[in-house]
Amino acid sequence: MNNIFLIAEKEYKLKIRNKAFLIITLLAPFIYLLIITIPALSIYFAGHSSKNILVVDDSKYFAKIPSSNGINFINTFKSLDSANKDCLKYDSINYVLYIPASIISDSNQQVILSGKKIPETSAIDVIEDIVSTNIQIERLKQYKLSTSILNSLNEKVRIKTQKITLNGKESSSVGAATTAAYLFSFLIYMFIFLYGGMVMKSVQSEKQSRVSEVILSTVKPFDLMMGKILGVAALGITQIIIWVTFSLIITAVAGSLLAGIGDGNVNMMDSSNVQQVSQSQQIFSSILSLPWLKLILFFIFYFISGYFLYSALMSAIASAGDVDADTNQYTLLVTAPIIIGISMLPAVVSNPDNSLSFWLSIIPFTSPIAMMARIPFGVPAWQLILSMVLLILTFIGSVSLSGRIFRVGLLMYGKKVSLKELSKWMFYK
Amino acid sequence: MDPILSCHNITKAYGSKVALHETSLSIAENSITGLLGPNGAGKTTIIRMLMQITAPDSGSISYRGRQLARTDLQKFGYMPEERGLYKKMKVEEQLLYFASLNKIHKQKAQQIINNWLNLFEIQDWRKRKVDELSKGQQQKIQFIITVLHDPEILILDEPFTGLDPVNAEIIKTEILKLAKAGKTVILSTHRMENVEELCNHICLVNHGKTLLNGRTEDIRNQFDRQEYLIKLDGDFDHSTWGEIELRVIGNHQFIIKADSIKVRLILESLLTNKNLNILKFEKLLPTINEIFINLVSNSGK
Repeated sequence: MNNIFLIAEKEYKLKIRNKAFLIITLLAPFIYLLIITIPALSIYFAGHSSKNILVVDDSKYFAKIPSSNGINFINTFKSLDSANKDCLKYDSINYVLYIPASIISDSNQQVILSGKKIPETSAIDVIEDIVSTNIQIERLKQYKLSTSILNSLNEKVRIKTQKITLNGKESSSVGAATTAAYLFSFLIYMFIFLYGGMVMKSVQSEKQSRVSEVILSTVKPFDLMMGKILGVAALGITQIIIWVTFSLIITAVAGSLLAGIGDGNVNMMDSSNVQQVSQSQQIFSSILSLPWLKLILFFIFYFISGYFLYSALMSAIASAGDVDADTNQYTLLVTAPIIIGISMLPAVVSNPDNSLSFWLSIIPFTSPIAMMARIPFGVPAWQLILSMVLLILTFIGSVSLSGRIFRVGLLMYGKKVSLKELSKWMFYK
Repeated sequence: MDPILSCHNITKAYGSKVALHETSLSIAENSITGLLGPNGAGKTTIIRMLMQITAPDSGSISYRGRQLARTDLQKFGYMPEERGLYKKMKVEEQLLYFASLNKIHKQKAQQIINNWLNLFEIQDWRKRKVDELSKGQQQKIQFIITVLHDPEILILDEPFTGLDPVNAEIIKTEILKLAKAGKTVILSTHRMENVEELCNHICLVNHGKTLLNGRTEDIRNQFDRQEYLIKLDGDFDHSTWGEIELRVIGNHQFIIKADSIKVRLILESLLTNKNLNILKFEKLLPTINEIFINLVSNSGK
């Protein structure tokens, strides 16, 4: 046991001093900063790059279309041809919107948007939205409906979701649960690959430098493997703590900075932007309403168990691999289940209770990812227990099995190993 | 004296390939035993079993008359043929790491390491990374790792490969010093000149079988062909010696084959011949190399 810790300590110290590791650890939070601020900044800048659209309205229904998302509509009485000429002539006019005369009565008529450049999708979406809403209202007006009825028809319904528990109703949001599901599953996927790969590389370099036989004459192969796995786990936890701390600081600082920018410009934004801001605030508060402690505890369990399961298998594969060959044919074999898990993630999130999601979250090779995707939506206790027990049993099995392959593989050089041979190694004395 | 280590009928197969077949051998305490054999003879397998890296399929290994146990590993120092060090670790740090794996207290380890680094004149390299060192220097570090926990038994697999004559001599001197201090050394090598020079015991394996195991002198005597090399200055007539097997190998130089009584007579007749100067009269014991080649090529047939 003592040797396991000595090896883990050496593994940890040697890696943490590595320059590449330091750079990645310190750089990652700034990459995170970019990821979180780019969407916010793009909204901010989008508000400033306004577009002017000349409206040629032959139907005479659209007296004034209100500006939205930085798109200004300017009505003109000119013909379409001369409006198009104006568009070519003046830089300030971006597009010409043509609304045919019989647009209200004849649904075959088409609204045309033309410009010096092909209009971008975001502009088309906004314009389509505005024009079709207006056409809808005008068509309904022909049925002589009162304005109040029209307004009531136009009202949007928002569904409030609730989870029923023994303690009564808990308010919850599908959006928040989905976000949490994706977040945690992705983190598990990323960490298993990242740290499993690190263990793999460490085993490979040990085999390559031929130090393994020296070590194996002092320590048991199993101790060596476990030492490596624990050392990298400790390293991973350090890295995660650094990242979380940095990210929290950055989020706090960036949040207050962005809020400052928002405050200064809120009057410049139009109503829909304000609506977006309040929507994101709602999402934010519903995210806060998730059972975070429970999620984090399960995350830690599934991350550690999944990491042990896969890093043991990866170290076995690395030990069996030929040093001279760059690629290892069996790596894919081991990593395939995680990739299946992550590729099924959207299916699991959108349908957390169907049989596919159930089995993916019970089978130990995919359960760390699939179960983390289900937990935010609520999972029956028996399923959780079954999944956890199976995962623990499998990782114990994988560690001892890998230990057996590791023992033989680490001393085997210049030989391509077949699967049959790998399975034979498990039974060598 | 009872052997310190012995293997009894050990068999080991890797799949269909049999590495050792009912091999028995013993290592005398305080000996320098040469473990000899051509490539693929099973030497590395024997060593790995002594080091408990692999276990035999059948048979047993004993240490001082009892079953070899995991806890006995502390008494072994092993330098594998495939040398390996952590390239990115500093010299001193690496030595301390191996010392800690061998459960040596840090202060004591530091002292031992200092002594060895001084002895090998590499004390200035202690803060350098291993991959900055020359091959000879790395070899010295490897040797220190093998001996720093003061093992009772040293197993050295080809300890001189890659070393220049000066450094090989330094390591040789240390091996002899350790043997003098009461350690048992097992030396696996192909270089017969080293065996002649260092080993007082020999164990020869081929095709997973022990062909020879015993004291070097005894083995050489066992393979005695009763040959003598004679070099003379002057004319003589060997017909007076009677029926004798004689091979002329040069100018006044020949080899005779005779039992000890006849040799005495011949020597007397040479000594009484006043016209002759005897330049050389030497019993020719087979070299280990000759015995090795002879046995290995015969056992292969």
